[in-house]
Parts: sequence; structure tokens; C-alpha cells
Amino acid sequence: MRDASEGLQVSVERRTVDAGEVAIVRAQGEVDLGNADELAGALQGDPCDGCDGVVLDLLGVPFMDSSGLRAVLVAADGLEPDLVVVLSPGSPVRRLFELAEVTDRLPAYATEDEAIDALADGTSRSR
Amino acid sequence: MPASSSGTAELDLQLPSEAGSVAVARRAAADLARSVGAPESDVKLAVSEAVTNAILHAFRDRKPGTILVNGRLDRGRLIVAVGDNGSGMRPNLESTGLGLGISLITKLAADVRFDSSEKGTTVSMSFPVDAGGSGR
Repeated sequence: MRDASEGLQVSVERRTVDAGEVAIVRAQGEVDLGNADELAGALQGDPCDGCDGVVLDLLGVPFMDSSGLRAVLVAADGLEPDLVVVLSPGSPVRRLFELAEVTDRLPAYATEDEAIDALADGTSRSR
Repeated sequence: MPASSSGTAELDLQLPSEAGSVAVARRAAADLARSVGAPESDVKLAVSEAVTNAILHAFRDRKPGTILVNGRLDRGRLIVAVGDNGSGMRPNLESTGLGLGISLITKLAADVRFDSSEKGTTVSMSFPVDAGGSGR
């Protein structure tokens, strides 16, 4: 498992789905003050470029604190299309989102497929 | 496992006020929490937030200083204190943060105490310890 000392790894995939095109941003590694800027940069670097939605997959993030959450919130506010998040139920990152009470602003799903379906349906909400 | 020579689990770190110290403090606190049966995830996140706050706010008008992280068992609770030798808690009207750190700490710890002076700030957090020794 990657952690903050090993660096954060972020990849972007574009995928065509029934309702259009989505960008899937996958992060791996712990996120804190030391590397939250890397996540912010990936999200604010227009990963979407005209697509219909952004899925941020955080299943590979074993730990995130408010520095990372802040990066996600700022990116979500600045992106034109909807941004939804993939979080493992019961995970420390999911708990962070719940404690910070941001699941209304950042709809969260358990899998990428569920997140993509929600974007396609236009019904993204936290589950 | 962090432990003193007497066998009592404890933690005593002195770290530079730089971003890399957040992970160092967090991991050491998590090890201690696990060893004493305190809620590991909660301790980890709370310490990460406290150290981050110190780095971002304690030295904003001065040279980077030192972050102290102390952990010990006290009357059946894990007490973790994160201190700095910065300027103390003061309003920061220029802050662009969302104020999440302290809010999270107060939700994660059973009790929180802030001690602030012109010599620095210490955040003391207490966590329950499971007598069975299984921190989550």
C-alpha cells in the first residue's frame, strides 16, 4: 500500500458511457498536508476537458485528512460538471467525509460503476 | 511499539514544523493507539489534524519551529498532546481554510483541551482505551 512518504499516485482515465464521457481520477496513497497539492493539481488540471462528469476514485487511499478533503472540495466547486466520489464503506476516508459532513456536497458511492450510473442518471447523491 | 524502559506505552517526539512531520507523527500515534487498544483510526486522524494546524498556523509570522507530540496512558485513557513553540492561537483573517481541523478533532477525541500562550499552543486529546486491547 502506498502512503504519504512514498508519494501520491494519481491517474486519469476517460471513459465513454451511455450518457456521454466521464473522467475517472484514481488516487493511490495517503493524502495529507505533504501531498494534498498533488491531488488538487490533478483535479484542477481539467481532467474532464468537456466531459460530462468526474469520478474521483479514492478506494486506493487508506488515509486522508482535512488537507486532502479541502483539495477535493475546492476542486468540486471549480469543476463545471458534477464530481462524485468512490469510497469504501466503513473506510477511514469515508469516515472523514461523514465527520466533516460533506457527503451532501460530494456524493459518494461504493464502486466506480455505481458512481458512473449516478452521473448518467443525473441522480448523484450520497449512498 | 512505543514504550518506555519501564514498559509503559508512551510516545515522545520532537519534529520540525514541516509537512513531512504530519505523517511521522500520525504513524507513531497510530502505533501507540494500536498497542494500548485505543481507536487507532480516530487517533491517527486527530493527530494528523493537530500537527497540520500547528504547521499551518503557529509559525505564520516567524521562522518554522518545533512540533512536540507526547502520548501516554493516564487513568485508563490515552492522552495525546500536540504542542508547538509558535505564536499561540490567534484569529487569522487571511486564512483560506475551511476550519475543518479543529472541528474534526473535537469529534474524534473524547475530550480536547487547548492551551495557548505567546510561547505556543498545546492541544491535548484523550481517547478511550479498550481493556481488551483492540483499537479499531
